[in-house]
Amino acid sequence: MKIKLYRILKTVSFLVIFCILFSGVTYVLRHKGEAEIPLPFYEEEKDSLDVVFIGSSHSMCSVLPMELYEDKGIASYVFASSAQVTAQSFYQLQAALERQTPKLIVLDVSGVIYDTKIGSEEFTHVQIDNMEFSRVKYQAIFDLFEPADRLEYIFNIIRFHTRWKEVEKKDFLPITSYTKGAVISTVVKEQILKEPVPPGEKEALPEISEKYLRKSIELCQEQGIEVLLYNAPACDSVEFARQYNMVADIADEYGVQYINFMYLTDEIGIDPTTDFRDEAHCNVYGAQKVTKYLGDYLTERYDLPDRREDPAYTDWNIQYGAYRNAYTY
Amino acid sequence: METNEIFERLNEVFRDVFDDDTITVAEDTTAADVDGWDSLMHITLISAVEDEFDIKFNMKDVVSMKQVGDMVDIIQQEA
Amino acid sequence: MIFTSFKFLVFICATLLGYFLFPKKYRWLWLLGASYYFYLSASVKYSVFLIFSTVITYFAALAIERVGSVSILPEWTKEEKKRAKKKAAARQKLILAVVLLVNFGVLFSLKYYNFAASSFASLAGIFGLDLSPAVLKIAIPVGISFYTFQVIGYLIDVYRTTCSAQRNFLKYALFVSFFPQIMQGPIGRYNDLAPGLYEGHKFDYNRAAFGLQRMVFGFFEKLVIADRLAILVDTVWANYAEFGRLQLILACFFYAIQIYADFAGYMDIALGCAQIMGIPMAENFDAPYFSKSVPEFWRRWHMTLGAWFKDYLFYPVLRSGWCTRLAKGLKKKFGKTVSGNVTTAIALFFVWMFTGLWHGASWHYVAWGVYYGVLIILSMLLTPLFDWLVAKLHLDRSRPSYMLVQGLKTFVIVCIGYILFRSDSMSAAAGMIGAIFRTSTPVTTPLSMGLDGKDMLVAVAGIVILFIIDIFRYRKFDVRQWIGEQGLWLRWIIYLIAIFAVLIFGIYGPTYSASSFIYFAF
Repeated sequence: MKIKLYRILKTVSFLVIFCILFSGVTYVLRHKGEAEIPLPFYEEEKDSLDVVFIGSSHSMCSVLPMELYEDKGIASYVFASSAQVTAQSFYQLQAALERQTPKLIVLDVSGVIYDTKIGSEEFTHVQIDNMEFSRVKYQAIFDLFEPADRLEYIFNIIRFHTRWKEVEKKDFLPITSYTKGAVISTVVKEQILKEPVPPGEKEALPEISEKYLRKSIELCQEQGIEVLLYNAPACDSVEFARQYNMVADIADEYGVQYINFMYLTDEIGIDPTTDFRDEAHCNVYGAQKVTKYLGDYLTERYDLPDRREDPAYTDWNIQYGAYRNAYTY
Repeated sequence: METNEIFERLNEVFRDVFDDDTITVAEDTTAADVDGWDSLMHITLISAVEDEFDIKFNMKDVVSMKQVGDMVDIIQQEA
Repeated sequence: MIFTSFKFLVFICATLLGYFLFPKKYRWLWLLGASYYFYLSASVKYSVFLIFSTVITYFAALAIERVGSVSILPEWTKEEKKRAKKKAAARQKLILAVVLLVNFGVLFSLKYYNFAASSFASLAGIFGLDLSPAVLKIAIPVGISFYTFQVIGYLIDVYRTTCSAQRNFLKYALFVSFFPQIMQGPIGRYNDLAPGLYEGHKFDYNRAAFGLQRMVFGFFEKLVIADRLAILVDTVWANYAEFGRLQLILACFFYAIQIYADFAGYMDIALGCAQIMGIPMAENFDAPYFSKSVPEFWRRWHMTLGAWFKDYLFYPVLRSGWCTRLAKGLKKKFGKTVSGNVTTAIALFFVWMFTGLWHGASWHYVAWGVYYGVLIILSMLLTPLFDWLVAKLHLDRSRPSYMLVQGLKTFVIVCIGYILFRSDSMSAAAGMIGAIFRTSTPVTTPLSMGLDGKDMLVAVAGIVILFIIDIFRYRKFDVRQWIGEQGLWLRWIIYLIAIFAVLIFGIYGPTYSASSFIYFAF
């Protein structure tokens, strides 16, 4: 009997050690990509964020949470991943709500024009891999992927073990960032901003996008969280203006606000020769302008606390200092 | 037939088939003990034993024979 | 279901768990269910053939046994008794012949018809006849070459009274469909496999540990070594004209390792799994590349196939009426040596032609088989000459240097054989051989064969490990026993290194390389 117990103990201990090593090895081998955007979200103290930005690279490039904090005391984070489409955002939103109780969700609608459940296979990995293991993650994996593809999201090692050839020091170190989900880019690429069709011209959204957009808004409203729909400035989205205009109808339906920067570029002084890093994304200069506008808009419209004097948020001041040291623009 | 006589005659057969006058087989002699006794020579050996003792082994015996003792048993049964 | 897949891992866990939870007496029943689940997950429609073979041979075996046990009444005369026995024997033979014909017929139609038809048409074409044979559009049912041979072996064994017929249909069905062996063997003998198969075994911790280790090693052989080398071998074979002599020779060598690691790896997974359940299965490999002669190689490579051909083709041919009559006639005229050599050579030719054919319905497989057949016949004929040479030159056969030379010679012969085996056709094989011997050869580096430096390193490391393990196998040194005797930490470190080696270096998963990730923001 004693031997049996000993053996069971041995086996269990071995399995435990194996699991620990397994997750460690998986982490090292995983392609980190731009993990520094979504991953540090989990380092934020629970229930400390008042605003969470959910969306794609458009959000990452156009919003500067640290400046929102410095200027208006808004505690926010851009919890996003590149090429994120509406269905993905629905799960990103849920993942955010597992840890935070924000007063406002700013939902980036740039992905509504696609009728797929995922935007890009590689970047969906960034989104899913950097999501903490939880019911939401599994629901996302089961909903967003075909059965054949699901396994590599549950066990990343299936996809990333081939990276053993490329593993470097960086892969072993923890991921940190001072930007709270923003991408700081000083690259300037001249663009041409075309005039979009008038806001009255609309076109129906793809079924999938509309479905998940509605689900996202409904989820927030069920939990008493305000929703702000948001479309960042981007030079190549003018072609889809009609569909972005349709979002306004849905916003009205739910009684939520919708900021469509396609029509606000003049108002905030966006200059296509200096404010973009490529045809789809702002650079930091464009982001400053957008952030300033958002700062005013949010404090005006929503009841958001000013955390600058809040003793619980002294950490943010320290972080801001580090942020300023790291980035000059 | 006496076992001794069987072994004596078997020795002759083995020496003839494998061209080696020093071979002496015992109850537990196997193919590993006799140089040249592989699957190719097995049938030749079997035929020679059959001729010597005027018996016929059936396939079951041919295939399952593991040592000389098995052979002797069958010879005693048949002859 | 592929052995090296996640699905199989889940299947194995479930099967093993179920096996030990089931009451001992009925554990075989669980295995039957698991085996059919396994087969059906590979293919539902081809299971028809498996079931057909199972049913027909089950009844045939029972019939042969029943007919054979003819009641002999004591009051009959000697003549009557003899006649009755003869009649029974004839009936048995008839049943056997019919069922063999049916089974082989099915195998032939499914696997060889197209090959036979097109070959016949080519032959007819030489004589000016234009035949356009219909092409049977049918794929080969999984495992049919293996289970057909296994049931035929069983049937012949029943006929020979080597084993008794299995009366329980479900038990017999398990013998035929047992999942570790159904896809790639080993081809089991009823007397060897049945006892272990039907008896429910108690869980033995040490035995399970050994079995698990064997499975992990099998995964290592398949995923790290075989599938990695396959990339290189496939690259070279697809374009052999582009590669230099050294690369072509290296590719042959690597193919020899690949096919061994692949097949033996599969065996290790199968036998390891059976070992956990306490079911002994026959070995198929015994450090084959250390063989010192071609006949020895075939006593160490794919052993159950060789044994099958020996017991069910080679011996029957040599013991058949026409062959013994031929032998007698030759012996009278030319003496016993010639007689023995001629009849054995004929039998060997049949065996090797069919061995080649068994591997695939194509002439290059037949050529491969005949290649070995000729070599073995020559080896038999030239043995006296070699013995004389060795004595004359005072060579010491027990010297390591002699054995090394013999081993290398044999390995080279095997590698040459693989050119025939691996190529898709006779012309491709000829092209490959020609490319090796051509005068002008393009200069290419070993790293241009599809594997980069790091992969080559892993491949070579894997080969070294396999080599070492095989030395242990050759010298009958029980590695797993040795591991079991080490301290806990060392054992665990070995297990973890082995498992992670497979997880990290294994060739599996989507082929997309993570390095082509497009960095977005950084």
